[in-house]
Amino acid sequence: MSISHANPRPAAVRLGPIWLAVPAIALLAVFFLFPMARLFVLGIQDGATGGLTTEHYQRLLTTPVYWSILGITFRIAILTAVFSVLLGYPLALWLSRMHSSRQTIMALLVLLPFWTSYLVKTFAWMILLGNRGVLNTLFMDIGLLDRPLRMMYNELGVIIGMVHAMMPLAVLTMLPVMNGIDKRLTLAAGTMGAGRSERFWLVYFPLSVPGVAAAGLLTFITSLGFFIVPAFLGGRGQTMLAQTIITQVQELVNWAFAAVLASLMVVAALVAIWIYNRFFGLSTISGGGSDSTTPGNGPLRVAGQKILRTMAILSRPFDRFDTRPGATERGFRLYPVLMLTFLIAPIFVVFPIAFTSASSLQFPPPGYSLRWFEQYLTSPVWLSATLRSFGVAFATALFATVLGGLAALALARSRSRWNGAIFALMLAPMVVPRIVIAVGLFYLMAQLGLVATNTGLVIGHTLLAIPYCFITVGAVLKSYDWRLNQAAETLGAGRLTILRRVTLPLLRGGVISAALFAFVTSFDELTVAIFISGGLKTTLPKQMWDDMFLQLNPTLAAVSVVVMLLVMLILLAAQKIQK
Amino acid sequence: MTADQQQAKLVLEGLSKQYGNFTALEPTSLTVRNGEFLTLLGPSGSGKTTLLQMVAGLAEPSAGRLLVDGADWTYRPVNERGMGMVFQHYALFPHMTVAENVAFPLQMRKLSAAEVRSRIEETLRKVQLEKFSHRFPKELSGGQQQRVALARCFVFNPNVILMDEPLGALDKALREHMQLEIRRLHKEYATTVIYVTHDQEEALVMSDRICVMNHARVEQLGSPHQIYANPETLFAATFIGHSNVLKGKRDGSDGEFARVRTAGGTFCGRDMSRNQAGEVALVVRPEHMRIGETTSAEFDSVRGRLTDLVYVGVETRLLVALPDDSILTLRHDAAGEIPSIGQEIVTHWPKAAARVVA
Ligand SMILES: Nc1ncnc2c1ncn2[C@@H]1O[C@H](COP(=O)(O)OP(=O)(O)O)[C@@H](O)[C@H]1O
Ligand SMILES: [Mg+2]
Repeated sequence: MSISHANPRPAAVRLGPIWLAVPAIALLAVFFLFPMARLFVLGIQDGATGGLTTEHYQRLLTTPVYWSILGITFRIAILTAVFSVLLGYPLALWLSRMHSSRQTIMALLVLLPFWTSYLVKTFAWMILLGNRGVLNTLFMDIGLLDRPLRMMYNELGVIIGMVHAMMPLAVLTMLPVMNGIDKRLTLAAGTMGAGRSERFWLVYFPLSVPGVAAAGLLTFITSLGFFIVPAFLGGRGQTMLAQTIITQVQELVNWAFAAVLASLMVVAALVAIWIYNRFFGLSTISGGGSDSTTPGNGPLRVAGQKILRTMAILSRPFDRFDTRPGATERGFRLYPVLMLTFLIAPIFVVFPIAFTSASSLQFPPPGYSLRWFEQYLTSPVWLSATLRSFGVAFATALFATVLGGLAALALARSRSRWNGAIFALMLAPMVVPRIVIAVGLFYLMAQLGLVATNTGLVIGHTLLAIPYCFITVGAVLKSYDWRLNQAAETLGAGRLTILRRVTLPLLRGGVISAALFAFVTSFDELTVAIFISGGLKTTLPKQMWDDMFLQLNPTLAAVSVVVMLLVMLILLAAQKIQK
Repeated sequence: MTADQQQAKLVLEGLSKQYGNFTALEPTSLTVRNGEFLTLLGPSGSGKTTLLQMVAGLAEPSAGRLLVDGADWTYRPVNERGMGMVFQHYALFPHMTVAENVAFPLQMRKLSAAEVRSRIEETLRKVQLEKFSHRFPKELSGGQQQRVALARCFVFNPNVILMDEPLGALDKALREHMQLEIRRLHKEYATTVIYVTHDQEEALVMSDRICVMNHARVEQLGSPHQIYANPETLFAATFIGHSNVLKGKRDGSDGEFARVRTAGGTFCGRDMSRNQAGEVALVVRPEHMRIGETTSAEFDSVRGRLTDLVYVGVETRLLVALPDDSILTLRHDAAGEIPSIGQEIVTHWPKAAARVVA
């Protein structure tokens, strides 16, 4: 009798929260991990017999031109990373010293160039740097030059364009780390007798190093797979690895060799990540703060301390320029204005060109008209590309937010030993150079018949956007108080009700921004589109890319303006929602 | 030079701080004596940190002067003041070990490596941390971190030490232990200490003198005993220790006493108020109030009704409601019988123990 009173234990197997990550894992396994593995195998497979061979790698070793391309790629990627971090550091420092409300507004000035399409930025630099471009015209008009200075189709042009493209990423990576540094530490150092140099080099700088390293890593890896800037602003001598891969696939149809080059690129990226992880831990990149950075007591640390002490001594003579607290701010103001101008002003050069009455990119325009917008709006090619981009971006936003958000939820709720691996997988599409993902995807989709389909594009873009959604939703989940769920349960709410009435409303800001970021990621995406969208099924960035190769015309400026305004609008919306 | 000036370590002359239109500290004048332990005591937002930071050189005063040993230090850079400071959450450098943290101020003073080593060893021994010198701050408990902060401050023997709620993050037992430890270090190093807290008990235990602050102003400055026995303002009377308050209006004087007319009657007390405000309060410490009637002219008495009994271990407290609904707290002497709730109670106190404050 007494047994019947006991509540039977529910027999149903309850799925652990880790299962929420399964859809995202499945997508990434099929369309990311598998094609990458395929690509690697292609590089060591004999095309005819299918057996193993080192023939493709031998070709790489015996062809000096590829060696020089590798060298150029590394050189440009390293220079870009160094300049982006070096020039971006004081800007990030300046932002981090503001009150948070002001910082949110000023950071928009960095977010704007960050989210502006690489194509638009490159197009703007072409208008600026050309022999008869804005800068040369300006310099000659004021008598600074009597002959145009060559600023394009050489390394200078590529580095300017690349640093301009990468610096926002560097700043936005360093900023959270700097914001996390306790401001009182430098004050405390001051009370112990440290001057400005010592306060910076012995206290502040070492604490900001995880951010610096993360920024260096991300800009280096992204630059490694870059092709837009060198394609338009570089000359023959600046051909980078990614361009070579595109040529191998699209023109020479040499899959095996493309696979070899792609594998090399991945190895280079992985080595960089390994080095980084060894010293700093990966959590800094995902915004987890630098809690895993207990420095060891090794010789490296001692050497680092020596260097910092030397830096402090070297910069000490400059301390006397401003010792009063207020003076720091005054002397510090010119630099950020200069850097922000460098980041933003070039982009705006497309505005006057878009409204020009001439059919050249002449600057300043001889007159103004709306004819190029008219041209854009009446061109069936441009219009269908625009519509396709919108559709694909909507679908991508939906899928990436759901998949990435569920994966973030899974990791927030589960203590499984798989967490680390899933975390790494979710971020992987952001870290592996896009060109490699795109080539791998192209190979697979060609076999599945998904090339030149919207489905193919949406799948490709979704896997690229998942990391952003995963991080954005993960960030709001971090501050979510799970005791609210227990509270709701004690008040009688079921699981679904809790999700609908408590969890989702509180996460809404994060989820909507995730969707907006995914939308912009897809709307701006070129690399996958170059391979997957073919013929009539082209997207807006792909159409711009093709047009920029054919001939520069003011229609491109008009399209750029439309794209920029749209992205700006979405960005502002995301900013507002996140508050 | 007067004796007071001679022993003055720090002199604040009308020091004030504005943030835009907001006044964080009204013009404040105050002398800190050489070697004393002075506590700034007040509720959160009363301007204690602001005052401390201007002394340290971490904030620039809006007006006024700061003199140290007679020299004007108002605008002296923070790193040239040589004052020690202990921050509220310690502000230990997370990228340095305990030993490196403690070595930092010595290295800034360019001491030889050998001397740095021996000073670290000695200081860490004094705070019982010699075994932890190679740990990083986050590998230590809160109490240990607190001791590192103290060591890092005392190690360079500063002649002024500023502490901003250094024990705020510790639990009660540890806090009481550290209070005694800080007093011991203060004596041992014979430095001048300005200590900030919002905990009145802590202030009473530690200080030579207490500076009571409220609403960006100094309310009263004096020894713990002076402030407890002779509060000059209603705020000081109620913030430090418990006071029974009878609000009323000034009603002339009675010999040495001032008279206050309240809802429960007219009472006498020693006038401590610095102005002649009409609205005043008579305050009496619970330990001066006795239960029972008296006819002696040296006492005042009031009638009320017992509303509650509170047992707090060492004693039982009686809460008595007066006709105007104000509540008095009385202590029950161990001997007498405990009255029952609702009963009418008469209490009396010596007029000499009552204070009139504004
Ligand atoms: N940097 C600042 N800007 C504006 N107001 C401030 C600033 N620092 C302190 N305040 C204000 O000044 C008042 C006094 O602050 P503080 O000295 O920190 O008080 P306490 O240490 O006694 O709690 C507070 O109301 C505080 O909000
Ligand atoms: Mg304070």
